[in-house]
Amino acid sequence: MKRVLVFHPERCLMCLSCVLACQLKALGVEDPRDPISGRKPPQRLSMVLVEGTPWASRCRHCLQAPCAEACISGSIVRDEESSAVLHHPETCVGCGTCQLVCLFHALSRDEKEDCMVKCNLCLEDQTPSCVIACQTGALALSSGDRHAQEKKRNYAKEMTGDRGNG
Amino acid sequence: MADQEGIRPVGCGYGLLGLCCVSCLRGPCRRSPFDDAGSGKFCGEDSDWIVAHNIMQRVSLESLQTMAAFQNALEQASDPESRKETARLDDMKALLSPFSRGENALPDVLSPEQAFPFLHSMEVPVGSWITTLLDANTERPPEMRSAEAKLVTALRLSAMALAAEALTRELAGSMPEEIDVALPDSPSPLLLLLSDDGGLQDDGRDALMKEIDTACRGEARIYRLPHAALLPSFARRVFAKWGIPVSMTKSIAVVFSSSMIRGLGALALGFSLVSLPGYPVQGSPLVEKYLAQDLKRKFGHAYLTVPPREDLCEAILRSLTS
Repeated sequence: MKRVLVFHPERCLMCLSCVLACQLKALGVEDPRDPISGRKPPQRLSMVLVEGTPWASRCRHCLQAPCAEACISGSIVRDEESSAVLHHPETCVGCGTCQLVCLFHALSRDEKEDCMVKCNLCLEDQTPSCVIACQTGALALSSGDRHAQEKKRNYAKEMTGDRGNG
Repeated sequence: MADQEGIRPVGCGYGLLGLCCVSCLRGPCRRSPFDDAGSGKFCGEDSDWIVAHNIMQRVSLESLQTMAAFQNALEQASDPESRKETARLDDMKALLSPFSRGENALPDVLSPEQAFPFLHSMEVPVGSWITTLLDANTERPPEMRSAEAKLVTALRLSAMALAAEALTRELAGSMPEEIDVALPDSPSPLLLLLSDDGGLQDDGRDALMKEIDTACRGEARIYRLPHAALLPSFARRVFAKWGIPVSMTKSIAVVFSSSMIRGLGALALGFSLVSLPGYPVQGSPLVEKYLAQDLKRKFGHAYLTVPPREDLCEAILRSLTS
């Protein structure tokens, strides 16, 4: 089933709960009060302000993913079933080529494991931790490209001045 | 396993760690527990300061509420028809005077130095409590800006607030000056289970108390107290019976309360503290170390940080028998 992470900037309060939830998931910690003994998590999701508007900086799971095309070890592959671009850290050599070609700065380096990291949409979980942590619904999980289609329809309406197909 | 999460479901991660700061109108700021670049505050304070400042602000607010209740009780007790001892009433009134920095005999009667060495090491307020409260909330750089100084002040205010609660109840006639509890003949660990009435109905605290009671019965004499205002009197009774401060007895107070002054007050009096819900201190290694390790090393009692998925009974037993 398709899995799409949708971000609604108008709902985001920049509380950073999604970022913390993602970091804890990376460390395998369920509760922030659990001991983490100085470990630092890799960065797979970050929030930035772009001209005053919140923006979730994360992997877009591009249909034609430059990172997958550039990966020299074949560690980044597109999974058609989930429509996700998946990274396999066990074969990643950490060359950083993917980071160079990504237009969205969605990959970072895990210095401890000496490999790259990116959002894999938490396919192993029913709902990603970041979506669970988001209390305003700014991050939502969609099972299809409904949101993209809706945007395209709205854009088309705007362009045609609501004249429809004719 | 004694599950603490029945008391409080997991909420905002930054809030649980004490790393959410609302001390100015540009916030709230949330500081990453992983020290990520760019997650700092506008004002540049570090996580130690934020955690200590949050504790201090909460304690100040609760202390103020306690002082207001104490003032109301004093006003009612000052009625000419009530037959209260005038000298003691005057001492109590002096504790609430914002203009008095002079000596007051009452705090020393309530907390004698030999019985409360930790409290006196923090320069327990000898003058007016209101003056102490006002001073504590006045930024006096640079010494008051340190996280540790803020913690010490929070502990001092909490002890003061507990004493005010006890006096309020004494004035209302619902509690005697000194309680009479049966203690063992020789010093041994005591386990005090306290629950205030501020909890939600059926939030699991009764079941948890019963579980702790059953698990720890063999290791400590267990007392159930209806409110924290009894703690100062309880600690004085321990000293009267055994001649040692309560901090030397490995005694633990398990405080079920959403109010911070009750738990921190117990800690300031010399009891080791288990608080349910736990305090948001894990965001600062310095604050956690001060409450959990430094106090233990210097005075023998400490705040027991119990991670959410750890068995509470085991943690209490470990502390009682260590």
